[in-house]
Amino acid sequence: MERALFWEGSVNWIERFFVLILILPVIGLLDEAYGRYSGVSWIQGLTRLWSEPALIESLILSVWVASVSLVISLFIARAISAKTLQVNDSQLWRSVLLAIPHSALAIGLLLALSAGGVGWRWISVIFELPLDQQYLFPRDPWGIGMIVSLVIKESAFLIAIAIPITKRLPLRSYQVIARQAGLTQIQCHHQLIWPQAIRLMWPAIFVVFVFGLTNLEVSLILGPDQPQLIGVRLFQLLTDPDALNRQAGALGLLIMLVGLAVVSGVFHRSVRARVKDRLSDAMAFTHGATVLRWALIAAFWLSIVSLLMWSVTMRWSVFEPLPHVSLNALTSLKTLASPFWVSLSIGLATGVIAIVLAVCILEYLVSKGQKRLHWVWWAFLWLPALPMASGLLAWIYFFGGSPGLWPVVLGHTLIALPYVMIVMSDSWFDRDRRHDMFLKQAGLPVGRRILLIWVPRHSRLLVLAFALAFAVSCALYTQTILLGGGRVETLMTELMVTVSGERRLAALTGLANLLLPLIAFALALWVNRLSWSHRAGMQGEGYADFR
Amino acid sequence: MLIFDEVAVERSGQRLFQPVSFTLEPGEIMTLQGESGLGKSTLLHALIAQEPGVEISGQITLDGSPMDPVTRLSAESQTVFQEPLLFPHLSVGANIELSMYRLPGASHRVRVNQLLNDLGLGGMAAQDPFQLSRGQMMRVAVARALAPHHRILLLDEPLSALDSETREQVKHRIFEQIREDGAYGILVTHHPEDRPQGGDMVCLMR
Amino acid sequence: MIFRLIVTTVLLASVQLVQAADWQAVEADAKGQTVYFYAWGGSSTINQYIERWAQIAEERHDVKVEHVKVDDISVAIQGIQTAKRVGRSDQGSVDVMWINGENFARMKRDGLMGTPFVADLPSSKAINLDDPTIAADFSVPTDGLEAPWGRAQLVFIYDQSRLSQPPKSMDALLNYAKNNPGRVTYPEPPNFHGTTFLKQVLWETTEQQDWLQKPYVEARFEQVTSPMWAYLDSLHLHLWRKGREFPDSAEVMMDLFADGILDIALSFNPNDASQRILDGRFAPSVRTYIHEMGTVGNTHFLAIPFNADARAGALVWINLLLTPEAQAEKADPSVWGDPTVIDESRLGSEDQKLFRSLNLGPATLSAADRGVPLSEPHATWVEPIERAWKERYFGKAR
Repeated sequence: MERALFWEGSVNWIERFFVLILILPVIGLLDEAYGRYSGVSWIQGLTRLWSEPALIESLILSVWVASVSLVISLFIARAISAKTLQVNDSQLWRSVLLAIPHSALAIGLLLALSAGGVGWRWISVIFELPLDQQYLFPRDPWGIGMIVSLVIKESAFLIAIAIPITKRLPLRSYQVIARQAGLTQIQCHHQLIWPQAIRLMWPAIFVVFVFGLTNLEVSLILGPDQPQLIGVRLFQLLTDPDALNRQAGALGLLIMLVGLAVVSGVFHRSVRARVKDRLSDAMAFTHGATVLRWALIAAFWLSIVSLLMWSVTMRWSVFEPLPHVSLNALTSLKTLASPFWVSLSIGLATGVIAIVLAVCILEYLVSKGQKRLHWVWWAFLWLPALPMASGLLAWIYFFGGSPGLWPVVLGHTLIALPYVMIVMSDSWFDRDRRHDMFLKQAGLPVGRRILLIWVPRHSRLLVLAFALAFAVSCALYTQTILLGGGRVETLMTELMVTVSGERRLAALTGLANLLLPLIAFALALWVNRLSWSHRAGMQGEGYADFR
Repeated sequence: MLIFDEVAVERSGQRLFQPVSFTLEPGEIMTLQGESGLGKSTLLHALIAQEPGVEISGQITLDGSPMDPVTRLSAESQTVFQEPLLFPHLSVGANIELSMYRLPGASHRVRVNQLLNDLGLGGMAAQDPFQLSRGQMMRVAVARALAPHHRILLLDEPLSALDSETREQVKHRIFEQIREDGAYGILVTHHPEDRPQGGDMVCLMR
Repeated sequence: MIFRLIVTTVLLASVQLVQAADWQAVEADAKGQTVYFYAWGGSSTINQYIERWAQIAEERHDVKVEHVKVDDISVAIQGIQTAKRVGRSDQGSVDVMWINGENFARMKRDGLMGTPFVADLPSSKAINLDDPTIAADFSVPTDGLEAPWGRAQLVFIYDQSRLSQPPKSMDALLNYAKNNPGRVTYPEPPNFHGTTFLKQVLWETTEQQDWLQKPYVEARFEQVTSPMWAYLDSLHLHLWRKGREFPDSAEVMMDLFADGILDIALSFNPNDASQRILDGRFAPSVRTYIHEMGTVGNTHFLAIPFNADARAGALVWINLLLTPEAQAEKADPSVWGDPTVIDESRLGSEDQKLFRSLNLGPATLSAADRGVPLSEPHATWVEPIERAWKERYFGKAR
C-alpha cells in the first residue's frame, strides 16, 4: 500500500479537510489541558494526573489487554484465512458477529460467566464445583473476560478485512512457488500469503489495537476493577465535576495520543518490515486456532442465551435448579420504546448521510484518478472516541451550538463514514475508466451519472454499507453521551445506564441492542437477495468487508 | 475535415509510437494498424478524456477548430471498445438509449429496435445484457455507439470478439452508417482483414 | 397588640394571596414547556414511577417531562459547569436533577444553583422545612435551593431462612465474614452505596464523631479514619472474591444476594426488600435489619440549576412530585417504596388516609424500629475518603 505523505501534492483537498476535522478535537483538548477552564497551570494538572492512584498500573493492564487480544485475533484470522482459500467460509455468520455491538456481547458474557451467571452455574454443576468458589472471571484482574469479548469481535473484523485483501494477491504465483518449494497449502498461506496480507492490513490492525487500548464500553462492563483500564480512568477524570481533574484527564488523553502516534510509527515499521512468520511451521497451532475458535463461538452463544434467560428471570438462587421466570418482566420493554425510536432515527440519518457523502467523495476521488483509499480514512478509526467526542463538543460550544441530536448525528457520521468508505472504495476504484469515457461521450452530467448509473450499479453494496453504518451508529456510546449532553437516549446509552442497575433490565436492553443492528443486516441481506434477481451481471457484488 | 498533424502520445514521459498525420474527409475511415501493445488504444482513449500520466502532443483540428484540451473530442464522438462494457443493471434497450441522452425526441425506442434488427438482435431490447453471449453483447455495444449519429466514431478493435459471419454483418453496418452520416471513422486494429474495403486509408503505426 | 396581630394576619393573608397569584403565573408559564429531568435510571420500578407521573404532569399541567436516565449525576453537573464557564446562563440542558450530598455541596459552592424556590411551592406547606435532615444536606444548609423528595436510611438485607442471627454491628459483621468467607461484600466506592457503607464503618469505628460533622480538615483525617482502615484491611481478607472485585452498585449486590452467593445485601431504601418480595425478585423469607448503633440516613432532593431552560415547568414538576398523592404512591412498596418527606400531621384527614392505608410489606422495619438515623458526615469529607480508599486498595488486587 503506497502511502502519500500528507504534505505531498498527491493528497487532495477532501482528505486535507478530513485531517483538519481530526486535528480540531485535539486542539479543543489542548485548550482544556492548558488550563483555560481550571485557571491553573498545566503543571498542576500534570501533578494531579501523576498523583492519581495506580494510573500506570491501569495503563500497563490496558496495553496487556490490547496486545493479547490483538495477537489472538490475528492468530485466529490467519487460521480462518488459510481455510477460506480452500473452502468458502460462511459469510453470513461473520456478518452476524460484525453487526452486534461490542457492549451487547460484553453484557451477555458478563451475565453468562460472572458469579451467578448462566454459564457459571452450568460449569459448577458439570464439574461439581462448590458454588461459593472464588472465581475471578470475567471481571478478573488480568482482563481475561475482556480479552475474550474483544477477540470474538475483532477476529471477525480482521477476517473480514483480510479475505478480500488476500484474494487480491497473486495467489496463483504463490502456489506455484510453494509447490516448487514443497510447501503444503497451509504452509504456503502462512509463509507466503499471510505476511503480505498483514503488510496491507496494518491500518485495520492498528484500529483493533487502539480499540482494545482505549475503549470505554467493554472496559466498563467486563474490564478489571481496582484499578480499571486506562480508558475508564481517563473518562472518569474527564467527566469529573472538578476542573482540575478534568484538566488532568485532558492531559492524560494528550499523552496517550502522543504515545499512540509513536506506537503507530513503530507498528507500521515492524509490520511492513519483512517479518518472517515464526509460528508457521507448527501445524499444532492451526488445531489450536480451531479449538480456540469453537470455544469463542460457544462463549458467543452462551452470552446470547444468558441475555435471553435473564430478560425474563425474576430470581434464580444457585440452590435452585431452575429460575423463577415471569413474562411480567417484559413490561420493562415499554421503557425501551423511546430509546428504540431514537436509535433508529439516528442510525437511519447517519446511514443516509454517510452513504451520500461517501458516494460523492468517491466519485470525486475517481475523477481525480485516485486508485487507493488514503490512510487518512483509517486515522478516524485510530483516534480514540473520548478525545474525539470531547474535542468536538468543545467546538460545538465554540460555534454557539449546544449538545443535542444533531451533534450526535455528526459524531456518528464521522465514525460511520470511514467504515463506509473502506467498504465501498474498492468497487469504485476498480471500475473500468472506459465506462466513464462512454458516459462522458453520451453527455450525462455528473449528477445523472451518479444517480442513473453508479448508485443502482452498486446498490447491493450500498445497502450493505448502509447496514454497516447503521450498526456502527447503534454501537456508539461515548459520542452519544458526550455530544448529546446526556439528553439523547439511545438503546446503547440505556444499556450503559442499566449495566450497574438491575440485571433483568440490563439483559433486556442488551438484547434490544443486539437485535436492532441485526435486523438492519437481515433486511440488507434480504433486500439484496430480492433485488436484481433478474440481472445476471448484478450478482456477486456486495460481499462487503465490514466490522 | 478531421486533421491529425504529428499526433503522438506519451505515457509517463515515454513516447509510445512515431507521430501520425492524416486528413479525413466526411464519410472516410482511417485504419490505424499496428502490433498490439503499441498504444493504439491509449491514443483513442486520449481523444476522449484526460488520464493522469498520459500526454497527447501534435495538432488535431475538427472542421477548422482545434481540439479542446479538456473536453477533447468527447462531445462529438462515440466509441466501440474492445469489451462490450455494458451496464449490468440496465436492459439491452436501456443500455443503448443511454448514448442518446443528448438527443431530443421520443423516437429513441424506434431507433433502438431498428439497430438491434440490423445487427441480428431483433426483439432483444428488454433482455438482461449479461445473459447474452459475448458476441451478442459486443453487438449491443456497437448499437450503442451507432445510436446517436455522432460526427466521429472511434473503433477500438470492435470485431475481435465476433465470429466471421457476424463480423462481416457488423462491419458492413458500421461503415455504412459512417458513409451515410458523412462522419469520420478511426479504426484501431492489428488484423488487416478488419479494414473496410476500397478507398479508405491505412496508417501503419510503429 | 391586637393591632399588630391584625396587621400580621393581614400581611400573612396577603402574602399567601400574592403567593397563590404567583403560583398561577408559574403554572401559566409552564404550559407547553418540556422539562428535562436528570435522574438515575438503573431501576425499572423507579423509572416506571417517574414515567407514570410524567404522564400525569402532561395531563394536568400541560408540562412534558423527559426522564434523562443517567448512570451518575456528576455527568450532568459537568454539562452545567461547561455552560457556566462559557457564560451561557440560559437554555441549559438540565431542568431538574435528582441530587444530594457532595454533588449538592459542589453545585452550591460553584454557584450552579439558581434562586431559592422551595418555600414558593404550594406542596411544601406539608413539609417541615425546619427538620434538620431537610434543612441541611450532609451538614450543608439547603437554603431552599433543593426540595426534599424522599428519605433514605441504610438497611441491611438478609434471608431469615438462611441466616437466623444477622450481625448487627460492624464487629459482628467482621466475625461473620471470618466464619463465612466470601459471603459478604459492599459496593465499590465511589458508588453512592459503597461510600455510604464506608460512612457507616466510620461512625462505628471512629472516636472523633463530632469532627465529622464539621468541614473537612486535612490534619484531622488520619486520626478520624485510621480505625476505619484497620477495620477494612481485616474485613477485605474475608470478602467475596477476597476483596479483589466489588459489586458496581447496590443493585448488583442485591442480584448476588438473590442468587444466594452473598448472605447480606444493603439498600438505602428501607422498603426496597419488601418491594422486591412483592414483585418476585426476592424470596418471601427475606427481611431487613439495622445495626444496634443505628444506620446512616439522609434525604434526597430535587434541584433546579441556574441555567434551567424551563424553570416554570421545573417548579410545577417538583411541586407535583411533592403532593400527598405522589408521595404516598412513591412510599407504596408495590410501586417504589421510598419513604415520604411529608410531615403527615400537617395533612388533612383525607390525605392522611393515603399514608395510613399503605401496607409496608413483610420486610420493612417500622419507623420506630429504624430509630433516629445517624447523620451524614459533612459533605467535604466524602471526596478525601473516596480518594484514600482508591489509594489504599487500587492495584493491590493481585
